[in-house]
Amino acid sequence: MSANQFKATVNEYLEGLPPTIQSQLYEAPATCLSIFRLLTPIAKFFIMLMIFNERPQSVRDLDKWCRPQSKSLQYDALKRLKSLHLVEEDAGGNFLRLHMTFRKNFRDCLTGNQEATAFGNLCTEDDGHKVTVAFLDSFALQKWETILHYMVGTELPSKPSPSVLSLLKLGGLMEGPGTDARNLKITNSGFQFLLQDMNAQIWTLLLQYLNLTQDLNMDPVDVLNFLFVLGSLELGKSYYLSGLSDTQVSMLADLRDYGLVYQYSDQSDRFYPTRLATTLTSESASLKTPSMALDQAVDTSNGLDSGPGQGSIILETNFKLYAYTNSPLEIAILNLFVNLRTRFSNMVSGQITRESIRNALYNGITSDQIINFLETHAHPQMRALAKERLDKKVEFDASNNINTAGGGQNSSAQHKLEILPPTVVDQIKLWQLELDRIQAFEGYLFKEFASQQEFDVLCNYASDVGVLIWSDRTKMRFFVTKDGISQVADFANRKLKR
Amino acid sequence: MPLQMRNGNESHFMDAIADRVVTDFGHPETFTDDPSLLTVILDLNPLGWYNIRNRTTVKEVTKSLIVFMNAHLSLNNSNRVAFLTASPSGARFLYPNTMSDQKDTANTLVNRGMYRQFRIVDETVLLELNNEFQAVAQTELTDYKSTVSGALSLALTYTHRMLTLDESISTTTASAISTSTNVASNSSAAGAGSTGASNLISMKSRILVVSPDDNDDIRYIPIMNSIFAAQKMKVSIDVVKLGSKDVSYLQQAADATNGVYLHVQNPEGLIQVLSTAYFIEPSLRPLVVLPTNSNVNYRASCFVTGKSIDLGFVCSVCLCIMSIIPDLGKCPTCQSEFDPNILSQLRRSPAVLPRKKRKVDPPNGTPAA
Repeated sequence: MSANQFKATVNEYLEGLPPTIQSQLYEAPATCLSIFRLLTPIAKFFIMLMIFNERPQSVRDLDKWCRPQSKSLQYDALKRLKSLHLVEEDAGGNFLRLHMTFRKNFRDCLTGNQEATAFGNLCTEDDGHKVTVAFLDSFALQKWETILHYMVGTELPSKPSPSVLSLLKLGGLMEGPGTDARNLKITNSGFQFLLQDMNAQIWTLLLQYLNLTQDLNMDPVDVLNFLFVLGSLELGKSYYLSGLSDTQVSMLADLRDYGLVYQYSDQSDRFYPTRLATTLTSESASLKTPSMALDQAVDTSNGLDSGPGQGSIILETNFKLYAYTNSPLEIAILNLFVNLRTRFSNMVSGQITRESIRNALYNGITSDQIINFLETHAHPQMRALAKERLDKKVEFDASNNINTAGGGQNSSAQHKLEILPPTVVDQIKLWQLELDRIQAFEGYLFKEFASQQEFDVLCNYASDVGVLIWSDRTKMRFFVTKDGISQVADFANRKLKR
Repeated sequence: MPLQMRNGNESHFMDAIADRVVTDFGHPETFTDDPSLLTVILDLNPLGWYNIRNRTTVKEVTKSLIVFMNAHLSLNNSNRVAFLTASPSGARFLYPNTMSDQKDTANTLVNRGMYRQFRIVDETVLLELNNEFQAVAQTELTDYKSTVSGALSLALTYTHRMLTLDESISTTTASAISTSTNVASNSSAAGAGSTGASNLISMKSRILVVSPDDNDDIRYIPIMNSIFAAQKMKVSIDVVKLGSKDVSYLQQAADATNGVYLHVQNPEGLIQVLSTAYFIEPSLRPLVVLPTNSNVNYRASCFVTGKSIDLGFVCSVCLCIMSIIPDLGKCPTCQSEFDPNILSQLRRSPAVLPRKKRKVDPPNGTPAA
C-alpha cells in the first residue's frame, strides 16, 4: 500500500517535469533503469514489447494483448507512459514508439554496452578506513532514527542537522517559528509521515529536497540522476567522487545527514552508500523493507538475540493490543490510534476503540495506514499463526479439489495471509466509512444524447476505461472523472462524427 | 405514482454510488507488483543442437537468454533468476552456484561497468556454461535420455525454497543455506515462532524451458510428476521449442500450468520473441492474453518402450501404461502378477470366424434375433 503511495508521488513528480528535462534524464542508463522500475507492471510489459522491436508498435496490437477486464489498467499505463514522454504517438494515433534516447540507453543497460562508470565509479584500491556492512546499517539507522525520535519529541543527546530541520518544516511535517530545534512541533501530516514505511519516508523527504534544490538553482537533472544512481550501487562497496558533478558532490553532505551515504570525513575522496540508499528504487512491499533488514542487521551485529527484530504487536479479536516495546517512537505512534492503558517495563497494552480510531482519522490518518502499520509491526507469533491457518486452508482446498492451480484469477484473493484478525480490520475500515458518507468527485456530466444507442456506446466505453462514476440508463446521463473527460471526448468525436 | 417512480430512481442512484465506494477500495490490492523468480532451463542435448546447426547455435541462444534474464532482473529490485542446464552429464545449476567464488577476479567476459545485479549473474552463467561444455565433451553418449525432467525437479525444489524461506537481501545460495539451517534449528527449538516463518513473502515464480530436442522418447513419469508439482505450487512452465517439430510432453507441461508454449521456427530474432511472448510475469497473467494454442496432444507414453501411444494396456494395480504385454506376465513397475487367464485371452490372436452366408431376402422376415 505505502509502496504504491510513494511510487505514485515519485511518478507524479517525474510526470510533472518539463519534457526537455525528462529527455535529459533519459541520458543516464541508471536513471532509465530506475524509472522503468517505478512503472506499473503493465507499463513495463509495454516497454519490453517495444524495446527490441525495430518497427513502431501499433496500438491495435497492444489492445490484443490485454484482456477486456484489464482495459482501464491498460489506459492508465499508456497515459503514464505518455506523460513521462517514454512513448510517442505518431500523428494518426495508430502507432507508438519509444523515446529514442531512453530506448538506446535502456537497451545498452540490458546488454551491458553502456559506459563503465554509468553505475558509479567503484573504488578498486582498498580504503584505509574500511567499514563493514553492519557498521553502515547502524550508521544509517542511527541517523534516521534521530530524525524520527526528534519528531515525536524524545529527548536525545544529538539533534538533527539544520538542513534536515528546514526540510521537515518545508514539507509541512513540523511547524513553528524559525528553524530552531526547540521551537518546532509535529503536525498532523507529520504523524502520517511517521506511520509510513521507511522507504516512503525517505522519498517524502527527498522530494522536498528536490523542490529545495530548484530554489537553490541546482540542476534537477543532476540531482535526480544521482539519487537514481545511488539506488543501483552495491552495499558495502565504496565509490570515487571523481565521476560526480559539483552539484552531486555538494549533495553528499546533505545525504550524509539523512544517513543515505557514509563518508569517513568531509575531505574523503570516496563514499559508501548505505542500505537506505541502495533500496531507494526497490519495492518496499517486497521481500524485506529496508527498516526490517536494518533492524535485523543491527540486532545480529550487536549480538543481541532478541528474536523478532521488528514485530512486537499482538492484536486480539477483542480489540486488545499488546506491544512488546519500550521505544518512545513506537509508543508515540501507537498512541495515535490506540487507547493505551498500561505500561510495563518492556510492554504497553491498550484497546482499540471507536473513539481512538476516530481521533486518528480526524488527524488525517487513513484506515489503510493504520492497518498497514499493524501488519508490518505484527509479532512473529501472529504471522506464524496466520501462516498455519493459511496452510490449512490451502490444504483443505486442495484435498477438496477446489482448483486454484495455474495462477487462476481469484487464487490470490482466496488464499490471503490474514495476519490481523479480520474482524478488527473490517471494523477499522467501517469506522472510516462512517466518517465519509458523502464522497465528492470532480468530473463531467454527459447528457442529452440523441439516441439510446449513442448513450450505450459512450457509457460502455467510459466504464471499460474505468473513468465512469455514475450512470443512469433511463435518463441517459452519465458522469465521468476529471481525468477521463479527454479520453471519452476523443472517443465520442471519433465514433459519433462519422 | 410518479413520485413513487422517482423514489425508486433515487435509491437506485444511491446504490450505484455505494457500490463504487466498495470497488474503489478493492482496486489497488487486486493488482500488485510482487517480486518474481525466473528459472531458465537450457536443454543441452547435443543431437538436438546438431540438428538445428544451420539455424542457430547455443551461443546465440545463450546471448538472448542472458539479455532476457537481465530484463527480468530490471523489472524489480527483488526479482531473482536461476539458470540450469540439462545436459548428458546431468542437470546442474549454473546460477546460483556455490562452487564458484571468483566474483571479483579480473573477468572480461562481460563489461565491467554493467549493473551489478546483471554482472554477477551473467559472469557466473557464462563461466559455468564453459565448464559444462567441457563436461559434456567428455561424457559418453550411449543410450542418452533427456535430463530435462531432472532439471525441472531441481528448479521446483529451488523455487520451493525461495518461496517459503526467508530470503533476505543477499542472493547467494550460501546465505540461503545458512538461513535454512538457522530456521531448522530455530523451529526445532522454539516451535512455531521461528523467524523464517515470520517473514512470509508473496513471491511469484515461473520456469522457462528452452529445448531443441525433437525426441518424444522421454522418462514420462518424472516429467508428469514435475508438471503436477508445478501445478500445485502455481508455477507456470513456459516452453521455447526450437527444432523442427512440436514435442507433446513439453506442450502438456505448458498447457497444464498455464504457461506459454511456442514453437520457434526461426530463432534468429529470439530476443524479440523472448521479450514479448515470454515476458508475461505471473502477476500479469490474469490481465494479458497468453500467446499459446490450445491444441495439445495429451497422449501418454508407454512405460516399457517409451513411445507415445494412443491405445494400450493399463495395470490395474498401479495404473502403469503399456503398449505391449510384458513377457514375464508381471507389471514392469509394481511387479504385481497379472491373471494368467486374462493374459492368455489377451495374447490369443483374434479368431477369424467363418463367414456366414447372407440371405438376400429373408422369407419370414424376423429382424429381432
